[in-house]
Amino acid sequence: MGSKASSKGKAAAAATGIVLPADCRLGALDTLAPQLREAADGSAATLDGAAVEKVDGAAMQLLVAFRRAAVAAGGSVAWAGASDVLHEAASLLGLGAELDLPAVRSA
Amino acid sequence: MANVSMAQFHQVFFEESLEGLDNMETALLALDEGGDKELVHTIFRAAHSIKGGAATFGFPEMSAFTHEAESLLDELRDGRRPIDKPIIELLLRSVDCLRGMFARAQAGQPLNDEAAEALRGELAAAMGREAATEVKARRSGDHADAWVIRFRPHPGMAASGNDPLRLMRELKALGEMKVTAELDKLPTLDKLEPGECHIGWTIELRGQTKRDAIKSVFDWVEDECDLTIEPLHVVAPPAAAEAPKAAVADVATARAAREGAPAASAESSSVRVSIDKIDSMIDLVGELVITQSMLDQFRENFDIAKLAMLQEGLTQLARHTRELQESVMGIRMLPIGSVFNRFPRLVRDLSSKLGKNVRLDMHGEHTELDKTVLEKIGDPLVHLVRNAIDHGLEMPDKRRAAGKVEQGTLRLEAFHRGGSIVVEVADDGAGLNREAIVAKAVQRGLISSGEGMSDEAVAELIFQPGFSTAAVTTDLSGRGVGMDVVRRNVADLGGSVTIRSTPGKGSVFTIVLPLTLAIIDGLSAAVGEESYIVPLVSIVESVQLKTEAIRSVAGGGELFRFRGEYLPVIRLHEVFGCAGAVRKIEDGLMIVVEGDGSRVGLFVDGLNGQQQAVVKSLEANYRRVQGVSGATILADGSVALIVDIAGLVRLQSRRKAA
Repeated sequence: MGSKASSKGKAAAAATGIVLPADCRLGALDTLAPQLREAADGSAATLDGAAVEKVDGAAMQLLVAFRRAAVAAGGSVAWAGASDVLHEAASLLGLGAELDLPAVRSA
Repeated sequence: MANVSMAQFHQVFFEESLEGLDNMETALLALDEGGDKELVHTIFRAAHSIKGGAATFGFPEMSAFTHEAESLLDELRDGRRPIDKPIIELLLRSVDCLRGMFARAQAGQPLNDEAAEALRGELAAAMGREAATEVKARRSGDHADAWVIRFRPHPGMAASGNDPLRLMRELKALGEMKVTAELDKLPTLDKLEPGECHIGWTIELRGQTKRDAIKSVFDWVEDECDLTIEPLHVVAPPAAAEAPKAAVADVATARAAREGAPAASAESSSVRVSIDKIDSMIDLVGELVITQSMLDQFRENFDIAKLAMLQEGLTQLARHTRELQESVMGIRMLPIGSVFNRFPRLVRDLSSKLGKNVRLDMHGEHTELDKTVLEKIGDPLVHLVRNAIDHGLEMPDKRRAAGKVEQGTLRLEAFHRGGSIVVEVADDGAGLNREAIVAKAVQRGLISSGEGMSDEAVAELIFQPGFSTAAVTTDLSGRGVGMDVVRRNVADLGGSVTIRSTPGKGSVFTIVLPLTLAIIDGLSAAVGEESYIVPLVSIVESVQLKTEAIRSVAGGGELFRFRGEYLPVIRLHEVFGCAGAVRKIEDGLMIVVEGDGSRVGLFVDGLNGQQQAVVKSLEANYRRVQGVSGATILADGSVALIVDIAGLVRLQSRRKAA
């Protein structure tokens, strides 16, 4: 991990990129959870939530757990994008600070 | 987005809840009759589901109302309160009130009205002294400018389909919200089961919100979370002044979105099918596939020696097709019990209102009827039942004087007869009052005198439009909706109504309905080059007549004598303008049919035979044609029209009048 060069910039450099699916709800978590577990290895990970159209409490909880695990392992998590839906969910659940979503939404 | 997906389920929720209300009513009536105390559990469960559903689907008023009823039921269940008449009466009225709320919800109107509010108050008041004070105490803390809600879902909550995010969204509609997530119990990523909830929340909600409204958000998950709701006693921050306005606006938008949705789906067009029926259909399709593959082998190599096998295969195919057809038609069939269910209540209310003592005797609730027929038979039946109690059954003292038991009996029965469903409404009352009917008919100018009229002919008079013998118009009957409407509604369903009455012994109204509207049994009759289907249910018999048997009457009509009465002749070729038809009476055939209470003879060339006709709507494909109820496609691919007997009879009498 971490050897991959990227032209996207600092945040994405030497990072594992995970794209969250459009329907990011309980049914999608069986696929997403293993990816996240693998990515929480202490490296710099990038989450792309720009495409998320549906999300639920379970998914948000998993993202929180992922971020905590990644940071605990000495890595970091950066957001490559977060949709309005994701922002709304984080605010409703009081998880905005915990998830550290980008203040300015990238499209 | 959330509203759209919820709206899809509204209709199902309405249907299930209305069913639940029916069950509640049935159980309450049974309790009233001294039924088992177990019934309270049934009633409680129904109320509980409605409460939870109403909260989930965004009908807080309904949920709050049911909550009161549920609290009362809870006391009955625990034996803290005796089950007595006033309580049952109150709960029955609550059932009615909830039905009203559902009707308004479906129509997209505001759910609460004054009556509902008043009844809710009554329910609360009925909770007795102790409970009332408790309610009062709770009510004093019912309003607050701000609330603290501590909500900790149990790990399994999400697995039962309850998403905390949805609950938060609903809470947000109630006011301005400050949410703090409690992550202390969140396991590490490697130990986290994605489907389990481990986050708890403390929510500060500002806005003019009632505790009940907040509680109703969590109604559906109350067993799956730890929840406390407390007023927040703080000095109102400057922002609080604006908060209520925002909340009101939010609630208003939520409501607008919600009310728009069910209105579109108010007309239900779904049917719930028992899994048994579907399984039997799948079996039949399997059989059909096997038969098809068996027949398929003859396509490649066929020699005459295999003819017997081929014939056997075709017979099998015919049998399976017929069975599958019956099975598919069966999907539309629902037990008439769903219509009968309303009668115990109706009879109870009516008899107590009129001071009569009536026992309702119902049979054949499991008899199945086509859904369309079922939906439309309710009103005519209600009318017949009302009539029987209002006019048929006598007051207790009169019955005693006539040497009968004081309690009158009203029998409601449904059963199969031939290819039809028969529904009978019978009472052991006084029977039809011949003198009163004749007098009324003379007064209305329907007849000049009753002399020489048979009892049947007199009984037929009550089906005349505008006929009512009720001396005083009560709110029960005599509102201009008479037996003629009953007959017309039943005729629209392809059925008929007849009456049998014995003075002093009672009356029996018999409704005969087709099993289904989609397929009818008919007799195919030839008229010129064309074929017409005459529904089997309306056929009395067919006769061959000699020309001498026909008598012409003034005005161009023709009559023939049939079993002691003169019947008008309707020549089908004249009505429908068919070329090349038989004109001489002795060359053709007279089919005696009965429709709209009278008999006529249909003159046709001859009969082709009996057959089942799959009814295709003529209106949908062409336009409405007088005297024709639909069309069907014959085995040779040609189209045959299905004769509407009642329509023809009406057409005939109009021509006579003209």
